[in-house]
Amino acid sequence: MISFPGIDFFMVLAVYIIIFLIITLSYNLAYGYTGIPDFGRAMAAGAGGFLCGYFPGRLAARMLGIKGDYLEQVIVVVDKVNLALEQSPALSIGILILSLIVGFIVAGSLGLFASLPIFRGIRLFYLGVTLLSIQISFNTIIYHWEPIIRGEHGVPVPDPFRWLTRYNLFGLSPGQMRALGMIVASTIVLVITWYFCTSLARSPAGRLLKAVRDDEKCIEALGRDVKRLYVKVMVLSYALTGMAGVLFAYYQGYIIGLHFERVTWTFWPIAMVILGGLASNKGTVLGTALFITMKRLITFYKRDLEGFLPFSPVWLDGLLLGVSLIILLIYAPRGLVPEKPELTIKRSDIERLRREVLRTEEDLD
Amino acid sequence: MKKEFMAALLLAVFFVGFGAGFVTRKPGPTPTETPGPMPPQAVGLSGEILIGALEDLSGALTTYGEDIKAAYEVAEKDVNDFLKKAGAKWHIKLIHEDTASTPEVALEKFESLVGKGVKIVLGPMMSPACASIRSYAEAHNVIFISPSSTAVELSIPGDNLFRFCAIDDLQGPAIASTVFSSGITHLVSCYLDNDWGAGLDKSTCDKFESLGGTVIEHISWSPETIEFSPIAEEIDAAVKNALNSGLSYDKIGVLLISYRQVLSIFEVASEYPDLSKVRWFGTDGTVMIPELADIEGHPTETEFALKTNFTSTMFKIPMTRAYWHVHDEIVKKLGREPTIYAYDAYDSVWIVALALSVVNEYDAMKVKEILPKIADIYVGASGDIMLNENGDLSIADYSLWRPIATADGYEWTEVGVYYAAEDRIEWKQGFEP
Repeated sequence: MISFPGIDFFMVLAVYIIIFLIITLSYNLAYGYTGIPDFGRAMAAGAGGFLCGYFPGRLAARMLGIKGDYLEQVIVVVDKVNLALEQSPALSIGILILSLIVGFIVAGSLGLFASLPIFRGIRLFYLGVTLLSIQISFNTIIYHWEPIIRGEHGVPVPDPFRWLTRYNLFGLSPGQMRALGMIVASTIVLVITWYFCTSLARSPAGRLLKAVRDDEKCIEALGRDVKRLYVKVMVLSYALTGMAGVLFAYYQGYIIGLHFERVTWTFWPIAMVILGGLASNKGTVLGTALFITMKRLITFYKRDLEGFLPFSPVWLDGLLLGVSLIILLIYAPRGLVPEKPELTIKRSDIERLRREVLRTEEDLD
Repeated sequence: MKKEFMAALLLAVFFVGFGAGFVTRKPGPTPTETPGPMPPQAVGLSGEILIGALEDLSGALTTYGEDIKAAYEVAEKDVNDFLKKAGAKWHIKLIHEDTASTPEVALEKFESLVGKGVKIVLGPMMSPACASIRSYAEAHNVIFISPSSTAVELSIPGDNLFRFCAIDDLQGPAIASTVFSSGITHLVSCYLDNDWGAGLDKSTCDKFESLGGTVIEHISWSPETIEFSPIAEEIDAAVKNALNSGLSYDKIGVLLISYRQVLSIFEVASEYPDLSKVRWFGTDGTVMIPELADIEGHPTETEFALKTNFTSTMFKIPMTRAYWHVHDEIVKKLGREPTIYAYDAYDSVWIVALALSVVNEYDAMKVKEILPKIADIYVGASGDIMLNENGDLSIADYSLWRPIATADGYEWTEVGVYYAAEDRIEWKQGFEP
């Protein structure tokens, strides 16, 4: 009998869709709108995620007066911090907001550092490859430099949603209450990201980005400093992605040097943006939601196909996902919602003006 | 417009699904309520009991993953045959998932299993993957049993992780006792600087010093190292210092905590005369490496191993009937010898099934309570499984292996056994120090 996914499935799905939407929307800003191919996006999420392993635990331990070497006894210390956070929603929310702000700043700074080769006049494709190299170096440093998050040992991350498990809304279990808190917090960050990305896309700055993407030399000839523009976009885009990394670290509760590898955090987001359609925020939302839902549903249901397959269903999710993406891109090569001209005013206003012009012309005739 | 309609439709499907999931959900525990008297309920297992199995079937640990998957499959069949004979109304069904040797995929697959209603998971294999899913498992009251995670860091009392393999701090005392009982009083410890190497260096040296030995120096190298001349030079310098302080060759030992890097190290170490005159010791990472008993193909490494009586430790599994049953079935399936973790993977399925039959309910928290007791009285393919308060194997014996020249050529030979319960080494006849 085919089973239906329960609430846990949908809550996890919602968490992943929201976190990845923050990443893909910010990536779309850099790649879709401005044309910067970034193969090192994992380090932007990693900056936020690894920061969560380094900063909030130490801060909370100091605030609570927990003494001793933090890394030496990190599991015990974070357990104590979590007990305090469980009793104090205000402290929990404060730590969450502070981490998001610091994650935003740190990831933005990393974006600034990573985009410095632009000032040397590097071509964009080479920049993409350089970013991939920088990301590999970044992850290698985190993995081997133990004072940050103990490398491959990793560290537990304080849980700012623990206090929610004391409540019992709608009959949800403690784990589901925690997931609900995660969904609410991530949605707030997503709304901010969405508002920022869509406002920018509709503004003159958004049109400038597209113009740079389509003809960089032309915009330079018009007196714009294109390099500075690229750097600004990189910084903003990285900063937004950094917040997604912070949220993922809090969701997972443990961070190790092996996290934020490039398949999940660079290549899948690129696939999601391409699937939705470049320079299309609506498309990015659709592409991300569809990609993650498809991936999760295939994993969930593949076992039901066991009797029909000549091979183990273990391999089915990778195969089906690949085939589905190929089919989708054959029938929608420009993505599910292809890029449209950005309208500076509402379509109804354009129609009204057009009618008025026509009427004036008729009157003149 | 059509696209927007599609988007709206997809979102509608998502939210309808979410709502349906919410309406059809099973009620969770209510922590704020005090449990009152409950009416008697009919409990009892029936039908298919889903158990998750997370294996590294792609990525760096594929060989181990294949072995462990095969062991789980053998155990699943054996358990279900047994349950059928016993007239049980239930049977187990393993859902295999590939974690691709990465912690993020492990978490994703674990979440998917929990979403399917799975409450007991076998795996994941790597310690980082276990660390990644720990928080989610605890929030959702799911237990997981790793067949091969050995990191000491994850020995946490009361958590939902069980480990039936020998964790790193069990091997340290075995190595230290081997070294000390060989008459060595001063040790140079050289280790691969990763989780495993650093943990083993610490547990070995702590035990060696508690026995009265002295650790002269710790020398480490990063996992990316490919040139070992500087390491050999450092070891030689440490040994020379010890000799200059008046010690004789037979009192100085070198411990090498590495994997196949041992081959490169032996090659360069053979150029230093003093290093061939002291005793060398290895670990489960160096045991049974065929090149160390191959005088024709690898004369330098083999001669160095023979000259230095290179002795390595390996988790000892008693060759019971269960052991040979698992061994033969896996050889039949894969066409090759299984690695050591396959045996405790096999046992973990049996112990879970036995715990379930005692509890007679698919409740992971009840299974968690009873599982250490079941493990305590169970003797399986990997021998005795006694768990400590952290849910880890509390005791493990180790065999001592050494490349030896025999009448049939050169081969790895068992030269002694470390009995953990008595903390003593028993050397085989002819191999006493």
